[in-house]
Amino acid sequence: MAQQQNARYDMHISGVGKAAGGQYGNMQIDGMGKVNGDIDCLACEVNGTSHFYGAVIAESIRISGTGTVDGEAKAGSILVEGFSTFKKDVSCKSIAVNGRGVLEGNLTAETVEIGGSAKIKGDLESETIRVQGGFSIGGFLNAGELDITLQHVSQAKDIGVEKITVKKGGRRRFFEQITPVLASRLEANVIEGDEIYLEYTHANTVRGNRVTIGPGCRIKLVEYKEEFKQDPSSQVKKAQQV
Amino acid sequence: MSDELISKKELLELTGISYGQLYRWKRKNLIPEEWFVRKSSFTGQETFFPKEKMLTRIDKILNMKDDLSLDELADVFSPNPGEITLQRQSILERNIVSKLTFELYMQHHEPSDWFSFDQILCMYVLETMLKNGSITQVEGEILIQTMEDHYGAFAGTDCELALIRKMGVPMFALLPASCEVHFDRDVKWVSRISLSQCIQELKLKIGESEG
Repeated sequence: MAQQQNARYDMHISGVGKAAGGQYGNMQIDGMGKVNGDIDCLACEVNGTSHFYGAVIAESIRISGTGTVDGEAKAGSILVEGFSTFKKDVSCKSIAVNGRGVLEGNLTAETVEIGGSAKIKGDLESETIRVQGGFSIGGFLNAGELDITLQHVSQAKDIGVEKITVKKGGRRRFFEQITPVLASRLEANVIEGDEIYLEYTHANTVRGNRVTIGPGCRIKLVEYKEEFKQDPSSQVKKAQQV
Repeated sequence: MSDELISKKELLELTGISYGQLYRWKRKNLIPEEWFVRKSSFTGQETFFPKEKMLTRIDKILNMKDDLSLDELADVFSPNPGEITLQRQSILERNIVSKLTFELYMQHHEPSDWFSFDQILCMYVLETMLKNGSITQVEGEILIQTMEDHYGAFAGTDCELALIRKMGVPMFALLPASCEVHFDRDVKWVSRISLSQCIQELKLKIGESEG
């Protein structure tokens, strides 16, 4: 193992350049870079524009400009500060999206932080998810703890969690004053969990042990086991204990 | 194996687990993705599960979760062979397979000291079938060959080992899990065992004697 580590050389592209796939030490792209095969490296850092035509396996990935990864991405940590597109599945310990991230496959992680906006076409699975921005998830969202501070319109198809907390962000946004269509909210088909607290959420069905519906919600059906509370400003068409 | 489905709601009522637990187990891969069957019902889309498989799985998880962590459990249920290798000595000492089975296996192999999980699995399947009386030692040799030649194609997926006989001629087949096969009427099913079941048992057995 130690020998393998020694054989890794750093790759640094400044300006415009291309690199082949393979094993590297640290990979740094300042400027414009293309990487033509699968790479396996320690730290991968992009400060300009980059296109990875293969898979990226790294201890850490940081994309501060724009980046596209055509293959799968596997990493200890991923930090997206600019605009990134991942065309296949992404799995990592922790991922933070502070710019805009588009994931066309599934995302599996232990912790997810979304500070900007994230669009995931597949499923999202993570132990903890903290959202301060907006997201749209085409598949199933499965989380241990999901904590959302609403800033934009966020969407998910089905959500299954142990604990979910959805709260409205402090600031009233400019667009919101023009039209309610742009008001920040969470839209979902089904939300299921043990402990549920929702604000400004539109959903068809909410099922859980303890369900608290805060202000601004529109929900067709609530099914609860132990406890149900509702803010008078919210619409719940039907609530039943099961 | 029955194909009866159970809805998520009924399942939770029946087993007394919560949504949180169900999703937690799914995240930990204790419950495979394929068991989540989405179907439309009158209330929109609903999730269903294969009833029998799901109930046995949940029963097992509930029984074992006090002794093992969820990650260890996931390892037990995973159809992947895992990175276990054992020495000849420990296989026999820990009574993973009997000496007789081991020797039968060794007749067809170069003597070696270390055995991979796949090899141990082969011995374990052999032992199981010998013990329940469905095969003879000679048939056991065919079993070993079948496993060695073809198990690779199924590795990591759920599959079954079937033994059929026609007019006293034994035949082994490796089949994908719960697939239906029909033969002419002279053919008798002697035995059909699930290899992922064997993997689970074997992993537990190895794990127990380690702990």
